[in-house]
Amino acid sequence: MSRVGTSRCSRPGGARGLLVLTLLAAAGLAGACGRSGPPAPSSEQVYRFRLHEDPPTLDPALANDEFSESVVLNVNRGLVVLDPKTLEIQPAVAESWTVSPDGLVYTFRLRDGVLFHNGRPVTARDVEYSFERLLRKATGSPRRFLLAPIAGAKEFTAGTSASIAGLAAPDDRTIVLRLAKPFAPFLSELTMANASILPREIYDDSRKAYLRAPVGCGPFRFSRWEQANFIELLAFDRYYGGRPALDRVIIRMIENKTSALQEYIAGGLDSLDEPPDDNDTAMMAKVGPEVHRFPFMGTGYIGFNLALPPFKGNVALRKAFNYAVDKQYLWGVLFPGSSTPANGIIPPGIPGHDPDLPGYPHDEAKARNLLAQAGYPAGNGLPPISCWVNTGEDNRRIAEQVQSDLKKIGVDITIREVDWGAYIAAVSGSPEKPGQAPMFRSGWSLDYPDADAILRPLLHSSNWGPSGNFGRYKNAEVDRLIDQALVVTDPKERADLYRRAERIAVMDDPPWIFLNYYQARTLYKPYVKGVVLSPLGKFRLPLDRLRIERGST
Amino acid sequence: MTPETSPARSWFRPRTRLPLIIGALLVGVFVLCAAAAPLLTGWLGYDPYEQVGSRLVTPPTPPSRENLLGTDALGRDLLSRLVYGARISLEVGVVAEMIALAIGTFLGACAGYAGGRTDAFLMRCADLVFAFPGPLLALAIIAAVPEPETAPLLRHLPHPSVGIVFLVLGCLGWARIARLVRAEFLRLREQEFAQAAQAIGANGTRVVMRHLLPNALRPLIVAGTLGVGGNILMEAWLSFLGVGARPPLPSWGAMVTEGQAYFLAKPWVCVAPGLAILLVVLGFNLIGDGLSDLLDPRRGRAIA
Amino acid sequence: MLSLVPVLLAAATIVWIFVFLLPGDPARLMAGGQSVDPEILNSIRHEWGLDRPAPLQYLCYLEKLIRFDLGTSYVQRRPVVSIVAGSFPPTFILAFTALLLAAGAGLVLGSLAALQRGRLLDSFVLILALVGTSMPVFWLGMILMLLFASRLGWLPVLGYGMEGAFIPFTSVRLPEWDHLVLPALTLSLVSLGAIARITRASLIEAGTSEFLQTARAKGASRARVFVRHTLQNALIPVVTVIGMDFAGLLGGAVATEYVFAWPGLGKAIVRAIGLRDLPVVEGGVLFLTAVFVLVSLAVDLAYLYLDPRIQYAPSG
Repeated sequence: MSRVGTSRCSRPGGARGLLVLTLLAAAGLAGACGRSGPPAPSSEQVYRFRLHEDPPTLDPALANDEFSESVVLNVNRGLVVLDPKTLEIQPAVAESWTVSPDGLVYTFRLRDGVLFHNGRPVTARDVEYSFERLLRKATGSPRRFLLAPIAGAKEFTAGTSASIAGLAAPDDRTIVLRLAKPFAPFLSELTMANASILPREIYDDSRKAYLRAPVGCGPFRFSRWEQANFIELLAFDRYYGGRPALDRVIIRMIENKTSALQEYIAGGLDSLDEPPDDNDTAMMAKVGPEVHRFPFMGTGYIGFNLALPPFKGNVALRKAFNYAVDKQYLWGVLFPGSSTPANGIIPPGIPGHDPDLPGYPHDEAKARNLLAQAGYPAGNGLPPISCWVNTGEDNRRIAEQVQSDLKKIGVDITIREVDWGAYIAAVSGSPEKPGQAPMFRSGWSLDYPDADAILRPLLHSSNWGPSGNFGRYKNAEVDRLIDQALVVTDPKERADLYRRAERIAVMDDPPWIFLNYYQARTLYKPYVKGVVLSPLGKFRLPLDRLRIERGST
Repeated sequence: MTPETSPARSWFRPRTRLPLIIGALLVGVFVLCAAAAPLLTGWLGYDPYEQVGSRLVTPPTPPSRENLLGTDALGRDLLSRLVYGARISLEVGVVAEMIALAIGTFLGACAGYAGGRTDAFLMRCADLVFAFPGPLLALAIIAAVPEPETAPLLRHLPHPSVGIVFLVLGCLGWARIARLVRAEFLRLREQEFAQAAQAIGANGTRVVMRHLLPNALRPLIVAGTLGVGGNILMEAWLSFLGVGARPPLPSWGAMVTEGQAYFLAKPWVCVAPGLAILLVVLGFNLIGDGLSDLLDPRRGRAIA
Repeated sequence: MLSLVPVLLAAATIVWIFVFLLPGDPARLMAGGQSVDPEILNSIRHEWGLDRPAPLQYLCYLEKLIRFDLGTSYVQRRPVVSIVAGSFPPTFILAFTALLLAAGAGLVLGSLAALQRGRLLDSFVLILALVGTSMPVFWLGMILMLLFASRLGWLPVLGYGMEGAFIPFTSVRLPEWDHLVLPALTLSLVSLGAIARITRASLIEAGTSEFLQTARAKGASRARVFVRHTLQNALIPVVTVIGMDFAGLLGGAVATEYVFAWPGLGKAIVRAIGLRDLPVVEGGVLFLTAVFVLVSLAVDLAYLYLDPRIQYAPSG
């Protein structure tokens, strides 16, 4: 016993020593942990905004979502761009272009003195390379359909042709594109991020280093990317449009909305894409004047799966659901200031939008009648219906509100909230089998201001199934009108055709419950000048127009 | 100096029962809420699923005479949702723990009594469950069953979406119970009374049931009550991640998640359910701790 | 040590099975966006080997594992090993700091409670310690953020900071220390209760031991006795708790990382589950499992060091 006691007495230093060592290590760590407090203020113009999470990719060919586009549109440039305010097509790398009278041949003249970030001048060969890369099967671009109208594109993608027949670069500063058929929105498609011009020496890399270090010819060049932390962009001095006013752009990845708002208020962000609700008086008192509202080309809806009962072939049922939902309450009271109620499909500002479309104003009596007409008086006999929703605060609330509205006419639906992966699987299904979701909350924002950009992907029967027309909608007359509008060149005629198509789809054969036209709301600090509130949305904004003017804050 | 009068005696004073009482009170209140939920809401006059309040005012609304805790993001009375939520939270916490206790006790007893290879194998399995990041596994499993309402076993439960939560938690929780039971069995097996019983010729099961198990009961009860609290917290976390109880079920975790968007301006929507979780889990933790002290064999020895 | 391999193998298999069972098509998610041409989906599937039969995919996965190749991320298209290597240090720094804080505060509180055993202070301290453990972590994080960052402005709201120093010879960046405070504080409250409770219990147990009585009989002062003998013995269960609580710490870390926009591994794995980035899920979970097993080993070794009784045969 005493022997153990003795050895114990000679031991105590051991454990304590361990403790002291750990504390020292911790102190050392803390000391090394960088400086405390914010860096010294300088005259440097830095703009900091937030994305919810890292962009899936910075490769223009692979960019298929708004987060990726928010970076790509500032690092890269294509032949043409969309003016964010007027939505007109403006020259970019191409300084001018002509279109042949039959609408088949587009000739572009490239600007002098456009440089890539690595210093090399941009030539027509680079345009050729970039388009080939986008169309090449090996690249795996989900948006190669953008260049599909070019003659010979399909053959090139399939591998049966070594080059694109309709693409020619007669000299260093000219690019000629020949289309297989007239395609009215072609120029609009060329404004998209995927049609950016890339340097071959960087993007031919088999090790794909460009995924973490993109190079383009846009106003900002890529600096660094720390996963889940931030992306840093620096001004490109030799941008053809002149060096941008901003010296640095920092993109911070912050997922939680409440945390992001607090960071904005504390001054860690210069803009925020998720402002507090309008009725949030406490927050609005703090940041109210900094909230900007603007319409945004998109619409939200609750889709019906038209390949399954009970919605299959039952127009009255779909109309009944539409009359049952109180859109005024949703967008006037529940989500004030965030959207306008939608009566149709084509959002305001897009040619073809019909402000006189009656739509389905809230009318419980009519809803009940139609429900009975549909064969389910007071909801009796309805099979179980579920509404699938992608995880998200607002999505769920909207679905719950619709659930509550439908309950008032006797229809009981259940809500399935699942994450994006499961949601897409349930909603889109496969080419052979329709998705399992009878109803689904969805939305669509347009890539460019053309009604074709919403009607064709969602309602045209050629996209039946997982490629976009998830609801499996098929209306021959609507199809015909959409096809016709594609080849017509007179804008007035096109708008008229789209109006007619929309009226049929909305009033005679509704594909979904029409909910809202998006209105974007963003916060910008007062010292951020040059802000453009664009229908292109919060993320597809050109940062080269911004500048920081501190002093008055 | 004899042990009785040495100053070391100050270590032996019986512990105040205050924490235990507080814990029991807290848990008792919520159990009552849960049990009497329909009665309470009938008295208050609000349905947890019904949207009340003016159609002109954007919810959530602050506490008022009609809605004692205000309304939530969709205009439903918060207090009645809280009360009904007690049912779900307690259901998850208790049932999951019971499952864990059942599986864990059985496997732990096997391991502790049989020893040798059975023991080694079972403990490796327990190690696996421990090492595995539980929350992630729970998330993955629950995400793998997006339709609990139609799943074979869960279909028959009153709330299938909650059912899968407590099944998963129970299946993840058995490891700590098993370890505990095994440790106790190993310890007790060597003690005299067990060896005596075996010497007399009592068969294995009898020894286990009559002698080993009752003695292992004490740490088991403690671990069980602590486990309930842990399960309730886990459910809140899973709701936060978007899996678990389906809308419009008023699970506390889902309510905290919904309320966090209004946290800055209308904190009560988020604070009230969070506080409820805190109090219930605290109650269970206090009970567990208090029981541990109460049933401490050393107490008896000290006073003697 | 030998148990490491089968445990990891079993873990790898279980992860693979569950991740495989997750509904949703990774190819779909890799393509991104809402509408995708089925032809593109097929080519993605082929490129990543997703169109092969399940058992073959499993075997390929195992084969890569043996070479320590955790595969390539579907979303980021770079090796999972570098993703894990990049996101683990922030989680580790967060967890380590949290544990230090919890251990420090827990030891102090537990000692206080043990010394005042039976009195009101004991109960008070205990309830205080338990409150931290009884709260949902993300709720606690938000409250701390609101109080210390937004209202009082003492600390930054969130983030890891951009100006931290790099650890020499690595590409690991350290956080700015003021950004570390709130998240570590939040996370420390998760383990605080357990450590305080165990400290108290083991101090009481050690306090009643014969060694203590003998030491006091020898004439050592009360404080000296306390520090030298009981505290050292109390460290053993504390170390055990640290080892066992690691799993709970990880769960809390995920929540903390989410609230404070901390670029850690927990958050990365949760995101990967949502994005069906299966290689990251598999690699990340496997890595964490291995870390936990190592931590357990370290705990066992510390055990050996701290408790000499284990080394000597019981002397009757």
